[in-house]
Amino acid sequence: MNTAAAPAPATPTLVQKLEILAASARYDASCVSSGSTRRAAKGGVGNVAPSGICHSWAADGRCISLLKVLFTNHCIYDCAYCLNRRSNPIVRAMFTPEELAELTIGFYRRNYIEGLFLSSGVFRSPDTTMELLLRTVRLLRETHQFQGYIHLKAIPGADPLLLFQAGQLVDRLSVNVELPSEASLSVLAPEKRKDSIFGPMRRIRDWHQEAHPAPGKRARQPYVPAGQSTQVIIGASPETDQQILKLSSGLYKTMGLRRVFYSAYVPVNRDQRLPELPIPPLLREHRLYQADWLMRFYQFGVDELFAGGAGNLDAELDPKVMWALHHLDLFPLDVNRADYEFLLRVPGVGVRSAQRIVRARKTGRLTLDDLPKLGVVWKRARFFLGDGVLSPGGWFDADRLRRELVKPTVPAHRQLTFADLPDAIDSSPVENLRAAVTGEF
Amino acid sequence: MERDFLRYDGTFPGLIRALGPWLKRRELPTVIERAGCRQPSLFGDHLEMTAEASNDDLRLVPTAEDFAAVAMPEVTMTIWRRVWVAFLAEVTGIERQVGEYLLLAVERGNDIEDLLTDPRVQRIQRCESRVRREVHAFKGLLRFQQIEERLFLAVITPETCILPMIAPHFARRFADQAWIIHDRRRKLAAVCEQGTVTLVPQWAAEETLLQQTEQEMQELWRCFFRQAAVRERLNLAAQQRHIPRRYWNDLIEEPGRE
Repeated sequence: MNTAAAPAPATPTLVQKLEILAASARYDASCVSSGSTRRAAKGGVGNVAPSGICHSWAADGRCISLLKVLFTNHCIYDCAYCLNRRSNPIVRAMFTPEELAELTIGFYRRNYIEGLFLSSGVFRSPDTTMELLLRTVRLLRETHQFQGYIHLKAIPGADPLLLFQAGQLVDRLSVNVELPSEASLSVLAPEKRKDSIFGPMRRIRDWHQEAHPAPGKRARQPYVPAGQSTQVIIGASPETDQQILKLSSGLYKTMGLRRVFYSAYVPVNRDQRLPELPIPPLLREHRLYQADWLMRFYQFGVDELFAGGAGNLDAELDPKVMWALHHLDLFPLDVNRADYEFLLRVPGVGVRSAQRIVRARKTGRLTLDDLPKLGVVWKRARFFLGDGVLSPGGWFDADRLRRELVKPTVPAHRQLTFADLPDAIDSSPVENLRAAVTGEF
Repeated sequence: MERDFLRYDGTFPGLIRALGPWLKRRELPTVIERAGCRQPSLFGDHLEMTAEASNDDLRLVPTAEDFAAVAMPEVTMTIWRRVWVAFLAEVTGIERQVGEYLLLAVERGNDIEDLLTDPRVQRIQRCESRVRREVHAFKGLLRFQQIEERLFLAVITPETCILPMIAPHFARRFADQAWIIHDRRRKLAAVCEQGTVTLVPQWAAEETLLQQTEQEMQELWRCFFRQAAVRERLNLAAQQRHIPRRYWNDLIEEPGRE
């Protein structure tokens, strides 16, 4: 978006408002509609699918699931990293609760979106802003009987009572940490304090736990059924990956967060307190997500991922491979004997393929040929798995393995020759023949 | 050899009713053919018409009666459901794969759930996941247009026959609006009124003129879609990986633009 100061139109149209307020919201990484259920109400519209649904993908490849907008980009704060800081000469706009509620319903009924993700700059005061957000949510839930997904940003510093009321209506509340340490916060966002972030987070956690004593059970009076999440900006401040992941791990454990989102810093402002990055650190963001996944679904501890002593994740190889390279004494692993927990630690084996291995070996011995069919990513796993007879990668040392794993894979558009056929088709010989004749694979 | 050819009406209930007697004898016909398929078998005189195709009532979704008629207690509902979903992939030779899988289910009982490396199981699973993937994708990628006060229309061109599977989802979600989902490729439509879905074959599409409010809403959506992308992260390849080109025509937001 062109951020040059243009005179604000006297009364901007809805399209103009949407243009401004969607552009201001796009740097928030979260766009998740999962983890909640909501049944359609009689005479109402919408429900929430527990798995979440992506409705489209923007030109940057990120999924669009929710109508992600700011209520307003007016802001009383002046945070260095933020596009909407008050000292930026940009065009400002503001929805009314009514038009935003109607826009959400209009989009929802056409199946463009799964729901609304509403955030806002701080207009006049945190309480005034939070009241406007709450009014929008009320209109949706009560007047329009809308049962779709709503993710609301909690405005730091707003009255706890408003936060409580909002949490009873929405699926998810989030408070953004933004900067991974207090030191960076005081440099880049001097008007925000640590308390104004972790205070509301703690309150939301307690209210959620009170309303949902048994996880997974339907609560009588749900309070943010999809829990809370947060976002950390990557690369605007000097913290290492290890420090960032320590923070996330702490948030998962003590605050019961469902997700921590990492957002590669996109330089939207020029400011001497900020680094000059030629491009956003997307690879670093990707590695952090991989590591985050390993912590949440693969039972990895933060320090395990930094076994090599470096404070940052490896750029060339994913964190699971790096862990394996530092623990070569545990490999190759016999797929017929290894425990599920250990299978999960093998590069190229995911949660689903590990489950499939455990199921499939109940009915008979597995051989290495079976593994790709079970969904194992063989180009990585082959160095770490054996079937009790063969273990092709067993004699490589860490340096050799590293070279093999970093090597670019075989180009995809190679001419197929007859010599390739036995490998290219993995079914019975009779079938092969038929496939070779018909050209069907 | 005499009765080695089986012809059925093209629907799943028709297929399993026709296959039933074969499965009881633990064997499969050499050729299974859809009625009205483009390449009828050369040996057409051996035709076995088991299920009658009735044009006025196209039954796509199998009922408990269909399963009861086949009378195979070894086959659980999970397995029936799986072969039905796999059948919707409409790949060539699916009838035979369904037959082989059902024979295996009779032979191995519940064990079949764990036989993940068996090619017969894998073929069915591949078809099943193809359909399920597309079902999930279209829960998101389907676009309704408002054509009347409370009537919405969506046109889709999916690879597999997902309509019977996605219709219940939209019926629950939009219980208070009437809608039509039209599968252009199969000329099949799901019509929903007051939460009740009917599948209508041979649906004739009508050209509809977009009303002013509908055009404005579409313009708002295109505007939001453009604004959601972060310039500095432009990645059209990733976008296309998630929304294959074959779906672009039915979308409103015009993907593929910088």
